[in-house]
Amino acid sequence: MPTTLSSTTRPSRHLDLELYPNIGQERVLLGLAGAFVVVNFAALNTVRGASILAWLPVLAWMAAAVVGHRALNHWLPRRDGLIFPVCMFLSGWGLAAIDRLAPAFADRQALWLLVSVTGMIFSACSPRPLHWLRRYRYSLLVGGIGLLLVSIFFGVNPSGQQGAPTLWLGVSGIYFQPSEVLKLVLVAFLASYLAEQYPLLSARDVQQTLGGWAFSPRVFGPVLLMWGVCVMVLVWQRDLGTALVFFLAFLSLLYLASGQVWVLLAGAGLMVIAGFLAYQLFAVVQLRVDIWYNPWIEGEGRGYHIVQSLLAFANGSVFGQGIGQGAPGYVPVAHSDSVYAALSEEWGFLGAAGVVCALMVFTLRGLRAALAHQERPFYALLAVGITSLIAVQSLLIMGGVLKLIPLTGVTLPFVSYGGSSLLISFVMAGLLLRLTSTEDSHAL
Amino acid sequence: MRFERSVAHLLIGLMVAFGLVLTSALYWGVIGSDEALASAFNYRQRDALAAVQRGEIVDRTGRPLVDSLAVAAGDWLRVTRDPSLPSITGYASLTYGTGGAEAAYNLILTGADQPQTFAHIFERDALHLPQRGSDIRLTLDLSIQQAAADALSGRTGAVIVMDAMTGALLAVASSPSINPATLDTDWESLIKRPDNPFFNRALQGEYQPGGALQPVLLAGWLIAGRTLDEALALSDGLVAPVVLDEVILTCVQSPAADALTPTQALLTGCPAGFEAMISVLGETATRDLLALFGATQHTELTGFSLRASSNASESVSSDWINDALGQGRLQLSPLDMAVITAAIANDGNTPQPYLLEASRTSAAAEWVLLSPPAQTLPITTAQTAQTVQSLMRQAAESGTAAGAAQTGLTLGGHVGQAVSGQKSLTWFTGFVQIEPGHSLVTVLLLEGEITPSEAAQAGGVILRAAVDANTRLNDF
Repeated sequence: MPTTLSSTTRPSRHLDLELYPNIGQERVLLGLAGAFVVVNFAALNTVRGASILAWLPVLAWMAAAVVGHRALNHWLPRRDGLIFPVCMFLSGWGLAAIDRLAPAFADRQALWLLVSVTGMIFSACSPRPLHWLRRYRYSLLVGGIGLLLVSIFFGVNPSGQQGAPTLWLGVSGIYFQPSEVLKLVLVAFLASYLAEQYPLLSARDVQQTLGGWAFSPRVFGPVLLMWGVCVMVLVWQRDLGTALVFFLAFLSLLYLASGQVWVLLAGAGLMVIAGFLAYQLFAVVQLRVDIWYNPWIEGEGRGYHIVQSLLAFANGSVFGQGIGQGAPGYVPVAHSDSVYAALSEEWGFLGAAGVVCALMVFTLRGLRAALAHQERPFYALLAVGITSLIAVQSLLIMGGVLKLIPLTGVTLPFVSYGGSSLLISFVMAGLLLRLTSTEDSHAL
Repeated sequence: MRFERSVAHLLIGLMVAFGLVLTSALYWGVIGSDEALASAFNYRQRDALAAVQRGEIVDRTGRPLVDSLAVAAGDWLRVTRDPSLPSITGYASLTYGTGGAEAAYNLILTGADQPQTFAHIFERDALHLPQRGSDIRLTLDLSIQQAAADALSGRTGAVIVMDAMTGALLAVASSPSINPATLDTDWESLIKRPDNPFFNRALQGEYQPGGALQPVLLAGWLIAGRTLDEALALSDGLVAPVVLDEVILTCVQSPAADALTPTQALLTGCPAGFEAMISVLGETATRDLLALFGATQHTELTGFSLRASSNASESVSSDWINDALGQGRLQLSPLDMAVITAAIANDGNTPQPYLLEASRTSAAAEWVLLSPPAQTLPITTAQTAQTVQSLMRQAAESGTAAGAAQTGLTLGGHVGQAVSGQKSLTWFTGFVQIEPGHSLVTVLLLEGEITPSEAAQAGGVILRAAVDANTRLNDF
């Protein structure tokens, strides 16, 4: 008898067919996304007078969309019909943006898209990934942290730039970012761990005893673990963005599992303390906070990145300059971390709003999937973890290029250039699709 | 229920965060975009300017003065066709902005003045078609401009050549000047130079007029009903210098006669004679005279920002005699002086100077006249003006401006000297009639130790070039 996350007896909602759009709608949405991608590539290739080979990324996207849709239809016919189109829409948009910003990387990203959709099909259509994530959570966690440690000592930066963060492991020209794998592993581990501890965490007497809560190893253990991982990422890899993503996703899960607001408050307090210490100890953090506070006084120096990002938004205005018509090349790493700024320059505020809306839909559907599994804590918490991870990471980088928060170097899921990020994002989307499946006995 | 509530809280938190992102994107992209785009770090603005093919600048005969050459797709090189031109045509740099006529007529040259029709906006903002500014035709004549620049060669000074009837500026030269082709590399050294090559002395300079005001004083003498041959009552003798504060003014030439008349005072440039004349005229009449000839009002030139104040009389001192003798606080630019000289040459009618003549939207389009000559302003009788003209012709033959004489030309001239601080200034003001009632005037200002004959000779050469250029234009 599985433990339910609901405190009251409620009828299961995960079999409610009306909860999700039907598969026909998914086909229509994919068609619309495809039309968007084709129109953008047509405009881009018209602007730069490219050859027929320039359409290869579009063909790859179409192949991924068709194969993904058909595979999901075959193995997962009763699923959320919005998640896959949203992911394909964002990745198609990203493909067009990358082809425009860094043409040399477009084919590679298209290849990664095919690999990623394959990964998504596997994670969505097979029960094994969910099973493995739960059963081998400790092994996977140790493996993930081990990979992170390896990258700390043997990490490289694909650009070869001196002083750039060495977050990648590379073999024969293929680079992979272990922290991306660690995101999924950590979320799965925490979901699994907290699901097991849920009866105790939610017990009324425990909740009413603050001391027991705070010093219980059941809670203190994962907090310490997450804190350690985040500090490790922050200190050794100078990767503030990933550390923040880890910690915020973890806080979301802990809050969901406990239902205690003080968890969020304590987490926020820890973040403030960590941020203060990081500001005092690490020059890179100090730099980012300083230029966040007022980038305009050093617009040609340390504030260049954020100033050019803001100018990209200003230059885009409402409708944008049009693909291939703006000057997003002024924004550093425009095809990767800053793709949201570059995208806003050429698609305008409407484009920026389009991306946000797509991510909001993804978030909404992800959390809805969690609600549908209240009687299965692991699945519910996994859905929340995955959704939080994607949403928080998106918010961090979008807020960063918009000067809402200090800029952190994370990718915009599904959109930015980066094979590791794209693959893990699609794998997580696949897991989410699996969790939205209404075929309880077969799918899960 | 608790789980649902927690999920709802999380959802609300994330949606609020997405909403903040949207609001921020709206602010930077739409509401606050103008402020951001005005930033000095907006290199996109520079790119947009670089992609615009600035219109061509031609002289009144259609000869190219400045044009844009394509060096790559969407990349233009601005080329000034003659080294005599930058002091008036200025520069158009992506790094340092615009100056001179390039700045004055920037909107036309970049096409920003063209009607913002839907088709135009669509072509520019949606299709991003190459933008081309309009061509402009100036009143300048390249031949005259070259002669003016030659006259200044190696010296510090300025030249104006103007059509006295229409006010068309045929040459505007200032020295030293800049080379727009090397501006980006030379900028730092140019802005540190003490002689300020960016300063247009012809249009913006403010100098003591000194003896250059003497024809005006003579006209005032005539307006007051006095005669030219009456002996002036001199306090200290014929050639005694006039001492004003710490400045000593002497005759440009030594008078030959025993008694000094107004005619001889003008021909020899003797300040003592004019001091006697303004003593007779009195303060009120003298001040009115200066105002009448426009000496107390700075001349304006459409498109150019010449000075902070247009009123030269703001700085006129209480010592009206000093002002009238051109050594007070009254300061004039060569353009101001050209307008005064033109009033005399144009039979007492003051023209309004202008530089921009016409524009066209493309090389194939018709020229459209932009600045029809303004009405001249009568300030004195033709008889008075013609009398002064006559005396200036005499001065060009045997007076202060004798060196100006040119074979086959009957020209009038006057040389006046002034002292500005530690610097000596020499003015040549002259005119030549090209047809009845139609004259060309020139004003030459040279800083430093220049003899009157050198200044007159240079002025004569400029007038010769102006007449020759006009003849060619008429023949054409």
